[in-house]
Amino acid sequence: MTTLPPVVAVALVVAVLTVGVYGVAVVDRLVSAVVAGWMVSAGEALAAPLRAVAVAVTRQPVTTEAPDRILWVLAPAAYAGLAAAALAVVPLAPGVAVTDVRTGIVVFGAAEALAIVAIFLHGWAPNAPLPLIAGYRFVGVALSYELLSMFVLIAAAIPAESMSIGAIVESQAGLWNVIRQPLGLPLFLIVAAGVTFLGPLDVVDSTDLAGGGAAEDSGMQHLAWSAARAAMLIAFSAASAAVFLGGWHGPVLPAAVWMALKTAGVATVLVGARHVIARVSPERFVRWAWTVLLPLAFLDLVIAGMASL
Amino acid sequence: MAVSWLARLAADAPTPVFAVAGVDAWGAVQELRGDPRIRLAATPRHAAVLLVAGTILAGHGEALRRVHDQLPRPRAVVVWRAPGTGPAIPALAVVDGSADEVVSAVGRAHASILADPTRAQADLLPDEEPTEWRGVGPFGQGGEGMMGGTPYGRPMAMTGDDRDGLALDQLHLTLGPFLDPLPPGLTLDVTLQGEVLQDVAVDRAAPPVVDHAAPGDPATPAAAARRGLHWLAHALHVEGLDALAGRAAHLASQVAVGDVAADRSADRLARLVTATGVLRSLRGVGAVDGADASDRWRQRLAAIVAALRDGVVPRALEPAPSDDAALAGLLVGVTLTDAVSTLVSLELPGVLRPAVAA
Repeated sequence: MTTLPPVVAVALVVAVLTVGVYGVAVVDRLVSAVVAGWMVSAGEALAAPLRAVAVAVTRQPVTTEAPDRILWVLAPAAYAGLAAAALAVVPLAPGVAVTDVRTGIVVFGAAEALAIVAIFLHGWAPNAPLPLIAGYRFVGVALSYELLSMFVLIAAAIPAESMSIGAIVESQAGLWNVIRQPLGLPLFLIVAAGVTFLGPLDVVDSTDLAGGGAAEDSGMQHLAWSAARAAMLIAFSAASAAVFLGGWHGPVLPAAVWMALKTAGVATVLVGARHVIARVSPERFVRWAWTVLLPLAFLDLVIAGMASL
Repeated sequence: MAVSWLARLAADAPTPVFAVAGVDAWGAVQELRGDPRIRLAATPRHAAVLLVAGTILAGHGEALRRVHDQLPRPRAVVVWRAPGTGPAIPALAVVDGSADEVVSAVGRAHASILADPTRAQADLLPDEEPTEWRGVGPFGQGGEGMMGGTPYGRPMAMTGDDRDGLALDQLHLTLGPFLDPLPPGLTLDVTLQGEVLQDVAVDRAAPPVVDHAAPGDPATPAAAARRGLHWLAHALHVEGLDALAGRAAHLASQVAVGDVAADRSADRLARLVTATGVLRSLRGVGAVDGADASDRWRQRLAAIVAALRDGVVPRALEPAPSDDAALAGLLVGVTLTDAVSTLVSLELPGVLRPAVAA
């Protein structure tokens, strides 16, 4: 188990999430411009997140009638905190992890499961109908994909004979899990899209509910929530890179660079999916998750078990 | 100094706009999605500028003022192509010209309130309860126990049997007339259990029929294609594909200026839309006379391509049930998501007049 000094660990998590959230905003701007057919310069894309922050700062936060003010403030903080907790168990290079605990995938799964509470409470807090509907809807959908996550993470732990994410990375020195367990990464990315409600699984802050869970957020409230979403996306991207894409393994470049490149690659795929894959109806997704995805996750587990015999 | 630096940075961002459009200007507003200088927000809470476009019915004055007050301060109002017959609303700028002129005016209004927040517009409605406290029942709200009733005129959730025989909370809501995903002027009074619509009452405003966005003979292929693209831009936005919505809106503006490359762009757009999986996702949703929402999307896409590439004048899409009760019947028992997708895919008489290929 590797553990960094607390000050270094906190600084590392804050730095990775800050750079990651900024990067997600830049990539989102670039991809949306390409899909829309707009010309956008690199300078404009790099400035877009700063401009968005400036717009948010200049807007007055608006309250609703009789909201739960504490929960409204705490929900984005909890969501971002859970992203940080999830990232804390993912090693970013050999020996560089906030805490590469032996139960890393359990901690990651717990952060992911608790995110359901934060997202629901964000819908509950404004005391307004559309966010409330979005919150309930999310819980219904989330229950159907949470099991996928644990099955694919456990499958990845089998060849490593450990639930430490560092050990899972080491076990991929010869063959990455994306090859050894081909169902794992696609299923995990579906979970990532669900927890960050992106693209096909944007059932929370969705346009069919006029902004859904974030319909009553304004100014800094909305910025904080968007940043927390992006932070969770970075945590999932880093976990995907570590658990399925060989983590820091790769030729020529330093280990940390490989990890950063793979994390950025996964984040770009997830952000891109937001613009090119239509949202799936929650009701149909739930049916599909229980009848198709869950058996596939079982199959992934069986493949991993058979291969380890 | 710091504030002015921040204000300048914010003014350089795409201006977040919430648009309230009459039927006659709804298409023109959808075309604004193709302009990267502004961003049409899904909720007034995310906007800095309220764009009031076209003819707003007098009966929607109260709803318009509520939307205005939902914008966070500092806020500004820009009025576009208003005939002067609708409800009055104080505006920072009034524009009667092109889309480019209104986008410029919106940007100037945003920069103006950022530089001098005292120019921002105050609330239009008093901060008071819409009705008095009723004081009925053991907890005062007039329901049963701690549930139900209408305290301060707001219907509270009350349990009722759901489609699976369970007693779950029922939520009563009014959606519209300016809810972003719904066609303009449409109001739904709904009873929800979870996300399932248990009861629906439809109120369609009697709309004017002039659409400034598509002047000229609506029977021309270009006008029909442009109207179809307006519909497509909104529909893609509702299905969560805002960037593609921007592409559709931009194509509509290309058609407006007679760009000869528009036909190839339409082909490519139709392929991109199909590749998103939206047609598969809408299969089985909102079937009317054997055609579901996916079929209607397919027909509309084909019509846009045929109008631009082959110069075919399309025939009208089969209209939705003209009777409000029949339309409501189509929505009862489905989820809110599917209800919205159904309404977006239909041609609601008088709301939009796109067409399909012959």
